[in-house]
Amino acid sequence: MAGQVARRPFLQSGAFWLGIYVCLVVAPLALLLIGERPRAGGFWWDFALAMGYAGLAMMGLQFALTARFKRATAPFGIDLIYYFHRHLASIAVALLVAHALVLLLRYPQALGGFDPRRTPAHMAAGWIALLAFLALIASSLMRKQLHIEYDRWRRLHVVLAVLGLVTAFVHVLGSASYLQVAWKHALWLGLGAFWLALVVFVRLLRPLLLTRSPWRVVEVKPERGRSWTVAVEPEPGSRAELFNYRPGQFVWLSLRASPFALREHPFSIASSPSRPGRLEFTVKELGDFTQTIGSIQPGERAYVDGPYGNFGIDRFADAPGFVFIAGGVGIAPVMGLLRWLADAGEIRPLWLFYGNRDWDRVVFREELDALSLRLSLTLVHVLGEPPDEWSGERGYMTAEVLNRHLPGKRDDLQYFVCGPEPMIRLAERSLDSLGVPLARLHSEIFDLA
Amino acid sequence: MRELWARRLAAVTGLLVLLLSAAFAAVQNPPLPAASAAVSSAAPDSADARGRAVFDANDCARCHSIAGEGSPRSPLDGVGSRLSIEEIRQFVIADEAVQDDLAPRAIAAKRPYAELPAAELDALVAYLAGLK
Repeated sequence: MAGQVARRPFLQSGAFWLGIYVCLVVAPLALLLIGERPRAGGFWWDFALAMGYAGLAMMGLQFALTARFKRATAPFGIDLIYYFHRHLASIAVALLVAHALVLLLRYPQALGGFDPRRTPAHMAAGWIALLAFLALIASSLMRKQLHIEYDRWRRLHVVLAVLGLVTAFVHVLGSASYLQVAWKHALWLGLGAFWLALVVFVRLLRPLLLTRSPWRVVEVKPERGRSWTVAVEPEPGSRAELFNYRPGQFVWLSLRASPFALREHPFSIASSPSRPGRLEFTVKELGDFTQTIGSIQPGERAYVDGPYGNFGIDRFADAPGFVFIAGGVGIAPVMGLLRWLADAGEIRPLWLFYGNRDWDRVVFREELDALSLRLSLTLVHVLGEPPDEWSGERGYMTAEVLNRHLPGKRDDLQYFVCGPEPMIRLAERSLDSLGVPLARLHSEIFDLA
Repeated sequence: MRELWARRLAAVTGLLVLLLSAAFAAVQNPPLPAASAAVSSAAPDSADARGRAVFDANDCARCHSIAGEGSPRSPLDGVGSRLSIEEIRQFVIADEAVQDDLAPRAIAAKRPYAELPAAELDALVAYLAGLK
């Protein structure tokens, strides 16, 4: 049973970690100014070099952002971590492009030509790094337009990122006049080695540890709306039996693949830790991987990396009530939370706004009715294409719909939104127009990539 | 909206990093008290032209600048007034006598120049000695 968790002021801890981030980007740059310095090369020359160092430091930090460090990501939701990852990576690459452009335009002779036979190794490495990072950004922002299948994209992502990082460090260590001093050289060498070690840890060491904690599929049950419930249990005697989680969290699940294969997919846990020994996931046939879920057989091997995420209620012991807004298969973490609350005998008022296309696709329909008897839960189904005799809410999760069912005093409740991005955006705008402060809004985004 | 918040924060971070980079460059390049005249090279005669050709053929501008062209890392303007002809030759080929004054990377880069044909090396040194 989750005890009282100390309240962490959202903005305070968030600002703290962002401050750490800026320091980590700027500190290696600032250190170059200490002690012996190379001769100044003119403002634009040194500005271009500084942008190069800073851009590379930012790219290295991307590995830390996505290394799934629980403590650093806890103040933010996983959605924010990935938004930061995307936007900061684009900014970092823009800095690296600016670095190259300023030098190319103002000091072309210093760059030498592009002839690979005459270009020194560190310059060739620099161009390769830039191209690798640009390919990384392009393939990520336009994955769907380029028709890159998700699993392949993830492997491509790691390869391009590591290629870019390694060649960038070869470039820096080979060309940089600021690193003539031994300790500065060692600093940047150490920095590069650290990022590389991080990749090794996340992509090799951690999967290795996972192979020691195997799980096994015990049930694959069809649900409504082309969805499935997949249940896994730890292999008897495996360290997986020690798995512990809080309701609303998610894991990276590997089915029919080893943890090294980068074929893991994030799924929210739909079951509640009040019923231990088994994890349930609700999977909708939406994409490349989930289309194959129905063919998974009980007895097959599974690997579970987690738990992750802070989408949940245990930080809010003082909240007067909770509002859940779920779209389609976004109901999964909400089910985990509601099942937990019911088992805990929760008496605070709860609301669930559940959006689906039509009545036949509403997953967990019966169980939600049963839960609304055990909890003081107001259940509001919102259907996009309701049957003719439907007297409930129809359309989308608009402010009018929410307004009709939320209590008069609504700005002190905690709100949890889970579903596809457009639904989350609409719900956020609706709640904002109803006067709900942003800090009370917690989102879990599905279909990120 | 959380994405908007993240986007704005990322933009602020990017701006901060950009400004700090500019500050870095400003610290490295404080405004000079008096205008230091850029040394203008005299109209080249044919000997200078040969030396300049060797300079260009070996991509010396990758590490050195003359009259603002090339890498500002190691400007050669006025080198003829600072070093003797023999010292210039020693620096070009990273002779043992001056290796203590050169970065390891520079020594490695200059190694091939010791293999230059004597006539080319002489022309280059003469050209550099003329930069006063």
